[in-house]
Amino acid sequence: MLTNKPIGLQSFTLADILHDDFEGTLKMIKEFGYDGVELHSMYDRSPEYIRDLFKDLDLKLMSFHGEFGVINNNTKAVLDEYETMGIKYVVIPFIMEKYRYDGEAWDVFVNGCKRIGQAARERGMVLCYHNHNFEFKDKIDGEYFYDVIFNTVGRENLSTQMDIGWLGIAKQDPIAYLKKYSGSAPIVHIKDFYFPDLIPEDQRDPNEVDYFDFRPMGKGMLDIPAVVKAAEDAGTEWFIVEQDDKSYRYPELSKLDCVKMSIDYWRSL
Amino acid sequence: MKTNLPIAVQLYSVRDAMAADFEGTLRKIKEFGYDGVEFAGLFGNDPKDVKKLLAEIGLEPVSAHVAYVEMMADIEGVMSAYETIGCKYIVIPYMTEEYRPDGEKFDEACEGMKVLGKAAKEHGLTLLYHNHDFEFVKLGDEYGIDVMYNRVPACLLQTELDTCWVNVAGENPADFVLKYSGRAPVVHLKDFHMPAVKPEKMYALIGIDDGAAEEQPQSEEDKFGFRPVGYGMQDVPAIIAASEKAGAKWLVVEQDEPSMGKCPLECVKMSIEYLHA
Repeated sequence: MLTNKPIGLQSFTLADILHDDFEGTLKMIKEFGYDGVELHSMYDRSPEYIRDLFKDLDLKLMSFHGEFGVINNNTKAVLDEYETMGIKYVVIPFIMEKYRYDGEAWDVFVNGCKRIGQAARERGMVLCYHNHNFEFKDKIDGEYFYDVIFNTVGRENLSTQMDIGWLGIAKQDPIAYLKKYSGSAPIVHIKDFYFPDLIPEDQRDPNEVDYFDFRPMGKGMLDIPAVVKAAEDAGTEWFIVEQDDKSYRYPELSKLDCVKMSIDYWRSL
Repeated sequence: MKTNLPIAVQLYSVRDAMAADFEGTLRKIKEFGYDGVEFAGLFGNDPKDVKKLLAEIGLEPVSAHVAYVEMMADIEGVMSAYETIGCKYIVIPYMTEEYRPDGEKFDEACEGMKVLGKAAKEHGLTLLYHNHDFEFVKLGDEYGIDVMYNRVPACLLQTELDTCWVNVAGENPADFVLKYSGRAPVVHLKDFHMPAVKPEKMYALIGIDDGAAEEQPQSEEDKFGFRPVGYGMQDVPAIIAASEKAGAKWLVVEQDEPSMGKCPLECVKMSIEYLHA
């Protein structure tokens, strides 16, 4: 076994089938072998209902992807709901351009994160920021926007939810980044992919695609054992599977197939 | 043309008339025989007044085109306004270059649409995307438009297929609507005439300068031009049949620019008369 840390699934991966059958799909996720789920939506259910449903399914609901603007404007109400559901990690999955360093509401974002982060901490929760690749596009005084976020808000109020796949798209080394954020990396999106740009041209597999491709775990190029080791060294408590899109190399695989393949691979390590 | 589907008009088609006389133009649209409207701006009118006015005239507020960046800048404000009017759909009408499938911010646009789709739902609206032809760029073996609809789940984003642009992009519009069965609640009916060779300066027709060289003046037959529905090259009966089969709830007539020597209001009248004939 690779690690004794639990593994969850980000619900966005199966958003449509959850929409059609919320309870049945969660049951299936449990049967596949996942320990928990990170929700992006409550699918019109009440927090109490969701809490009881997860308890019945013996599935952990450890984190939630919420919209920064909504959490910022309704902090108490949102955190109350999260607390009812037993959520530990409050995750900002994406921020609009206005909230970024060069946007008109950058200070709103910084102050909001400080305030929400502290409010979460007082309830035993942790506020996290989930990256894509735009955070690594520009450097400000020698540092990526990604690092500016954590330096400005402060790690005591904001932890990372490092998305290893998007770090790959951004051509960043996940191992180095996990090390850099040691102690602030409680929950990691472990995401396999194939990206030819990361391989010297003369060493690329001629049968592979020539574009970035999301993959189920084990079908891509990520050195999963090495990333897991680095994450554990950095204090990671939860691993999360998310597949943003189907694999275009393996178009016959549905997202559901991929979700199953990822956990099967994980359990085989 | 026989269809049980209600028909709306995209008010961008008559934007000058809307700017000059908001209420009078909506009354004319009703007289022409349209069942509903799709907004492209409120021309400074209060959403509550718009709701009242449409109820009085007897037009359904179906949907609204609102620029992606405008929605992202004020999600709550935009969603609340169109919820107040009573719209069922809110539509991203267009994407500037950086947000397109081959643009540097495409990934971000996908994430942004997830945020908008969730917010729309909370306001009782469904988020749609209205395509042009630039989404038909190939990413690997797939069209950008298909990648976009794979990335953003159907429960958060549905299509508003513009059948004119689908055709211009080289796909059969009826087949493409069928491909999105169950995810095509609103279909844009738009007719056009196109000469054998695709003109360079096509985007000028929708008010966008894409930097293509100015062409020599030509007769209307030699130029790409939008037409009233039924007066161009589209197989309208096939598109309507496909829309019905795909589960569409509304057909929306749009004509970006008038043609055939008619003014915009005459053109949208010709379209609905053709569709009701």
